[in-house]
Amino acid sequence: MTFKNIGHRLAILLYVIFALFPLYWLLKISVTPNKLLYSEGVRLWPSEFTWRNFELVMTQSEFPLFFANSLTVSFSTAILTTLIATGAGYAFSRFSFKGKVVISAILLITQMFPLVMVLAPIYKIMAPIGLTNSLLGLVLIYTAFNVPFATFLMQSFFDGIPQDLEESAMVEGCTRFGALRRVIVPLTLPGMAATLGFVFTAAWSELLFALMLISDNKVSTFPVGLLNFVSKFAVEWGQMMAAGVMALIPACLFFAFIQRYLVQGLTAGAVKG
Amino acid sequence: MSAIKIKKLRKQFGSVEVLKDINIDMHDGEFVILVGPSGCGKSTLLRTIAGLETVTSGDIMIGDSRVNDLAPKDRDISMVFQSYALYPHMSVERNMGFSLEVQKRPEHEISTAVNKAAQVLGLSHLLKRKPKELSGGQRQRVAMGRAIVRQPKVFLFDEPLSNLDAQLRVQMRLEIKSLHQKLATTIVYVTHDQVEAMTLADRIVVLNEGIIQQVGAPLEIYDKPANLFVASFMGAPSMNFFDAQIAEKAGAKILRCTSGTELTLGSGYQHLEKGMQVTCGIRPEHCEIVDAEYQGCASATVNVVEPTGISEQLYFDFEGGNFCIYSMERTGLNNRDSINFTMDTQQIHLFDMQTTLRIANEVSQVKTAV
Repeated sequence: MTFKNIGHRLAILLYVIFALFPLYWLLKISVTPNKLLYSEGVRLWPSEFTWRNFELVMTQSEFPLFFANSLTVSFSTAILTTLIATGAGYAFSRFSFKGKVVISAILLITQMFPLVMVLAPIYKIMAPIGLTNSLLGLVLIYTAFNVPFATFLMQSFFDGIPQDLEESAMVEGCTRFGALRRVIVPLTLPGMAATLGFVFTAAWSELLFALMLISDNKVSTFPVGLLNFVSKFAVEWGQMMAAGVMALIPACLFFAFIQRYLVQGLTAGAVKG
Repeated sequence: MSAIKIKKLRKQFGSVEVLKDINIDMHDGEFVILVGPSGCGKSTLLRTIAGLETVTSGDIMIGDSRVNDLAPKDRDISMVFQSYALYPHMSVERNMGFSLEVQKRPEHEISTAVNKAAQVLGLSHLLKRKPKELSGGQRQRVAMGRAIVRQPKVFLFDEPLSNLDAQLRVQMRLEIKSLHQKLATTIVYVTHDQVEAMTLADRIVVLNEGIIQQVGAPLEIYDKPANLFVASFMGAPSMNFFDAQIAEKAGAKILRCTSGTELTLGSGYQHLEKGMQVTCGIRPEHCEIVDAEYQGCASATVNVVEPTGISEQLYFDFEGGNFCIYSMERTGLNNRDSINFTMDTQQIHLFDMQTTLRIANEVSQVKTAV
């Protein structure tokens, strides 16, 4: 190994430590007994190890419910957004129609507003139709906010697939939809996986809308739920961190599952295959 | 019946008219080649036949039915694309059987048809591979195989050989020709390569700026180009041109070039009026290098010599234009050498300077009539 190589590895190692340290600290605190939290000072690993925080979170808190709610909301949002974005992205990529430029400009503009600006109006709209305190309301809002970016993402994937392929399929006996289903969609799967992953994480960790639209614990998602560990007199650090560690699991699993497609997806179209 | 009739076809993209009043009759089993420079509308014409582009006005008939409003899938055609358009996620076998798979034909029927086509094209050992594991020539063959399996009324080829290297191109050209002889299906083939057009076609359609310039058998187009465009486009190296005026000398009509050089005029052109301005064209193989003593020869200085092994092409300036001589002999000439050359005046083509149309040679007209 040359000196240059060692330098490279060292730089990467430093970066990985920097990036993963907060996660490590999350894990460390989640397995530290409460009594040691303030008494041991800064130590890389507690002198005593415990699963107590996890136990409490699973049995004494409403976290399992928040967790289920979050899964429902995130999966629904991811699937709904990807479906809509696939259709819209295909249309943007393949068809020319009146108002195409205007529509894509409007989609772009929606991405320019700070979310805080639209919080109040959205609450005003959602409250009278009963979509506050409802998971459906969250799914609708998340979908609406994620569709524009997801559409552009999907459009770029479709742009990367030569038009000849579907034209060939159409000549060989498919309808346009048949060509899309048999030829284009299988080739866009990496793109769809990337979109799915992106939207899933965005919905999974969203706090602002959830906090504002949800006041009932029964329909809280876990980011809102985490705030329950902060009470008037104390912060339950240990439990909060344990809940955080558990919240990481689905996101990690999901990415492990789609990782292969994701890397393929994000680089597809960059070079001629 | 798989004849194709195109009547008064027009195609506009926005305000740009890319096909203007196209009329062609392609016979059943005929190999028709659409040729022309980039942007002449030849691919658009092919795509309107395929149904991938709508027409602005006019009719397209395949067999006895008008297909204007039919979707591509209902036209009973197959198309080979320049990019091959093989489905990357399917094996060669599934690629080739795709059209039958879409029609939900039984599996054994699909595999029989695929195997048969694979045998014809020498692809039998590649059926399990994915397209990315194939070479350019093999991909090209798979694309043709996919077209054959469908057994369509008409084959459409959109510049199928332009992504191949020169050697493979010649080989595939031969294969396409023998395939046509075997299948005897109507083929419409687009190319910008006029050698492909000359070698493959039963009939050539020359297009420029969305207008048909000439339709005819390859040699007819080569020997009697209808206008200046066809004359300059068909043939490599291309025809030499120079301007001249019809003059009279000793009772016979002659050509007087702008520089004063005089050339005898073939008997078929003796009816032309004195003083008429014409553009003359002569193919490089109809010019010859001669000794200085040769009567009526012209002289020039060689700019470039291009040896090809089998022949030599000599380029020089003559009458204000670039001139080429195609010599089957090795002349041993170098750049800046002086040469004397002569033209076979019977082979000179005359074009009207205003209309750019070919001026009929009365002798050859009589011959054609006989």
